[in-house]
Amino acid sequence: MHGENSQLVRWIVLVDDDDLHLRLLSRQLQLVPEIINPRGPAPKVMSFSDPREAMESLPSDGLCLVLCDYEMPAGNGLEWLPKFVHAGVGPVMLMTSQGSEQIAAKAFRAGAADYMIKDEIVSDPARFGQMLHEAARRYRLEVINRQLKSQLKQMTRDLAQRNHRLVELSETAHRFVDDVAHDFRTPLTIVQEYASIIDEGLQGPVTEEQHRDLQVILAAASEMTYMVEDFLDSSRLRIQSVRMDRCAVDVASIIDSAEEMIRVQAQSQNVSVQTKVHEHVPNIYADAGKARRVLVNLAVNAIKVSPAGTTLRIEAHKRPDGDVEIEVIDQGPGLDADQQKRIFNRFEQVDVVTAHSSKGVGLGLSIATQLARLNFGRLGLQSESGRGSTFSFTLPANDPKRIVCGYLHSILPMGLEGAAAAIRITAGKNWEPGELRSWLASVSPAVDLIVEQDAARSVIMLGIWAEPAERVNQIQQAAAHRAKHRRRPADPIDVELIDQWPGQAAIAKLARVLCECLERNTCETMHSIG
Amino acid sequence: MKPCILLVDDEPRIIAALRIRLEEAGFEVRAASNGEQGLELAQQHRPAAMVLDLRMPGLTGFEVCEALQQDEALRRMPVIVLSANGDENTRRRAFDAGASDFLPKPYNSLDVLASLRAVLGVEARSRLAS
Repeated sequence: MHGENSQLVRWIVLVDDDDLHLRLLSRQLQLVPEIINPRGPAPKVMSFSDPREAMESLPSDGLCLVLCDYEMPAGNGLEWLPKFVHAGVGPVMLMTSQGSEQIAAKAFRAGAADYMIKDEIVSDPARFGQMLHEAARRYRLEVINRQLKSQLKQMTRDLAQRNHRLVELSETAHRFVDDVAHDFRTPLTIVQEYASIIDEGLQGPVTEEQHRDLQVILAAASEMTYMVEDFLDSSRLRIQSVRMDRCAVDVASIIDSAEEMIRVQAQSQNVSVQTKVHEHVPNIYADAGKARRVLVNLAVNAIKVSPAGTTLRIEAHKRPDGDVEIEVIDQGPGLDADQQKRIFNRFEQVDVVTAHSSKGVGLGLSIATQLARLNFGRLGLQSESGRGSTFSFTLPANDPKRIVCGYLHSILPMGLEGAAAAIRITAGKNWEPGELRSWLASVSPAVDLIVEQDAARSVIMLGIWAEPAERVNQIQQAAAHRAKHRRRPADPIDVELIDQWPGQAAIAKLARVLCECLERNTCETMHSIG
Repeated sequence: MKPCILLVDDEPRIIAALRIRLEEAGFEVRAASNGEQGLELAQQHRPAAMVLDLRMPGLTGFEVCEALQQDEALRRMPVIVLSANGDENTRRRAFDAGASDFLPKPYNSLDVLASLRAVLGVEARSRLAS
């Protein structure tokens, strides 16, 4: 398509009511064929004194230049010009006997590729040839440009359609999970409520034996509740629809809210629970609900292996690196090195969530691993056969550096030769402009960083992208998401995580545009890309 | 006179279980099996508080909350939402719509009673004590 032949001018159509002019022009053209077509045969020339006849005879095989006279008995050249342009065979030019800026302007408005004065054509045939050559070249470029534009338009439409479909699918999946949740929890509520109403003697006296049996029902119902939660969580993790609601939160409040759920399970196994938050534990930046779930899962797991009469300890302390660690310490049989390795292998596998769950270490730990990771933390295990186990997980302190660090590490396992993170850091007292850039590079040398930093606002973009169109789409979503959630009260911390996605090659331009978008809190500017 | 609590839930077994609990705790209980009926009874009886399910045929719990907000006489009535969907988004929406408290199902009945005592005024609580 872009071969040399396609660049050739195959035809030149002259339209002029004056025969003498036609012959003169024709002769001038014979002088400069190699200028019009530098590496090809001379264009064939057709002459017409009547524009109507020219119009009907326009060739359609190959590029055709039309040179139309301004003043003709069959009508003003300006009237014919748009018709020739509309025929779409090639560039159309207007010729006049005397130059006039007014006519030139009119010609260009009517779609002329160029405007020429006959005397000049005669006096400088080389320049004439050059003008024709240029007009042909521009015409070609315009055609290609139009094609690309329409392709891009089509691709954008396709992408929007596919995106729309994905949104629909994701909504259907969400609704399904919600429906299942509702359908399971309602009967569970009923079982639990009626068993405890009877157990508490509200329906008449209860014997010691009946009380024991009702406790069995209640513990089983509570176990069933965890299983439903596990199922829901694993479904959400599978369809990747886990929404993170991060904010600064107090560790003690997470332990308090989990404790009640843990106690119900512990009591049924005759295990006691002790909690302790050590001194100087900072606030964390996390999704509190997910953190609670990780704690409950670890504790429920520990209770299952705890002998009756033992104590389960839950302790939070500050780690040397500044993050917070919550430990669940049981007095169970403990695990030898082999068992520990097996457990870790199992809950490092994402597939465990989708595969069968067994009693003991199953769905719960796998979900805990994934939820801990979403909170930029990780699970730990210390154990010795015969001396109990300590399962632990970390949570990032509410400190910008820890959060950015956690974020980068959370996206690193995604196979990042390229992953992109959009992180907005508003100027916080903890940051020096410039310090951030070098720090980011030192935190994560594996990430190819594009850091755009505005000294005043300290907006940081880390961007590594693959297909531009795809990225634009994702960035738009990220920006839209940000704009949507803007009305929520500002977090007391300095870092806001925008989005993350896998990718390959870095495109600095997009990073800049993204920065602008974030600055303006709009994705309008995104449309200018491409 | 005992403080009156209006239960709105399309699941009759939940209504029945809550009725046992609340009557035991000294409340007078009225119940509606859908949102429309709930609003009607609320206007009729001016209960001290409402315990409201979210997912119901007809008006949802969110819509009931919003309708209550529009009603000058009922705007201040505390509403405790009980829902089988306890995610953050649902919670936030419920509070945005005007809920006073949110408890996920399966609920702990002690929590429901504690929440009711917390949202009721001193005067209602004193009537409960007597």
